[in-house]
Amino acid sequence: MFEQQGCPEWLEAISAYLDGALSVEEEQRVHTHLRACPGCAEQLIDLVPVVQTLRALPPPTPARDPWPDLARALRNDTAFRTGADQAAWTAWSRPALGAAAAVAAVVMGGALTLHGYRSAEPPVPVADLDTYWHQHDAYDQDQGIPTRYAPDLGAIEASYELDD
Amino acid sequence: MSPAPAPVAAGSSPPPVRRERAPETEQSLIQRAQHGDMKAAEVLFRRYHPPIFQLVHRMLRGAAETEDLVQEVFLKAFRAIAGFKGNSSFKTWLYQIATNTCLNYLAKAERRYQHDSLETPVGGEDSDMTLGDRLASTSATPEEAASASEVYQRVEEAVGKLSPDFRSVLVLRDIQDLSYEEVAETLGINLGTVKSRLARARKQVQQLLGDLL
Repeated sequence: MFEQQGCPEWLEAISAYLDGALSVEEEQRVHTHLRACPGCAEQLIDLVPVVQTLRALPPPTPARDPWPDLARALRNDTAFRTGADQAAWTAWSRPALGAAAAVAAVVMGGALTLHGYRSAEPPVPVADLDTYWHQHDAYDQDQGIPTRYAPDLGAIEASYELDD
Repeated sequence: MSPAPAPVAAGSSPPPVRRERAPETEQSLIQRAQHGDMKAAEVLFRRYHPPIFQLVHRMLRGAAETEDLVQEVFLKAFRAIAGFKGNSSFKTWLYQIATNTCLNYLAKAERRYQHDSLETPVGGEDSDMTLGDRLASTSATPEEAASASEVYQRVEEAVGKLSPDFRSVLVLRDIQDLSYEEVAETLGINLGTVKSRLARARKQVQQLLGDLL
């Protein structure tokens, strides 16, 4: 069967036309040419299913979840750990500062009681602060992170507490 | 008309309102990963692993090294994330690392196994037939390729036969759905080159598929 050949110099414009990537003027030029050139019109018709099929290709799936291996490699990686070391220092210093603040509050409360004053709000117990910091700084450990592939992203992000 | 709200019994308090935490922004996740936060790194990884895996898989034509190369891409990205300044989007930055890693791998592989290009002449010195023509002429008829999975397999094979330069543009634009501008930025080429390579890549895939579609 005889097939019309498209003009090679118009191929780029026809391809971009399929994506709607041309200006209004360029589109007009393509329209004019397509009306006059059956070969290029056929070229356009032939490219449509190619692009549609490429976009519909099912995504490949990996054989295993690569995160555990990557996490192990990152934990041993100096470049990545440079930031982690800072985070670890912050993680260590925050509970220490929190505990110090709590002790200071208790001492202050006792001192005020001795002087006959009582605070309207009771001081925050040290045990609660410990729990708080434990929960907020545990994210550098992998405990609790699902290891099966493609866990619920929302669940991971929801468990990711923001700093105050 | 909406029904009247049920009266609240005296002395009882209304049920507590559960506040849903909004998903953390990508910028915030990046900042945390820049400080070595493993959990932020995992969230970013989970978000971008599927498209990056797909990109590498297509670029390497499903080679056995795909998973190793994907691992390498993310390792490079997280090692360098402290230097990410946000001049481009994180997505584009990650795609740049992925495509460069793939193209470097393919260049090394090409040196090992010199492969034929579609323009390689076949059929003797006097023949104008190229390898692309030969492949298209041996394409299956629509009757032979009845199922969708066969069609997809043939399309994947055709994409795999493109040169790495053409394949990268086609995969990023038509499979990964990046804009022309994003493709240009990712590959470090100008917009005109993107359009030109994309058009020729599509044409070659069409020729390779023959009457399949």
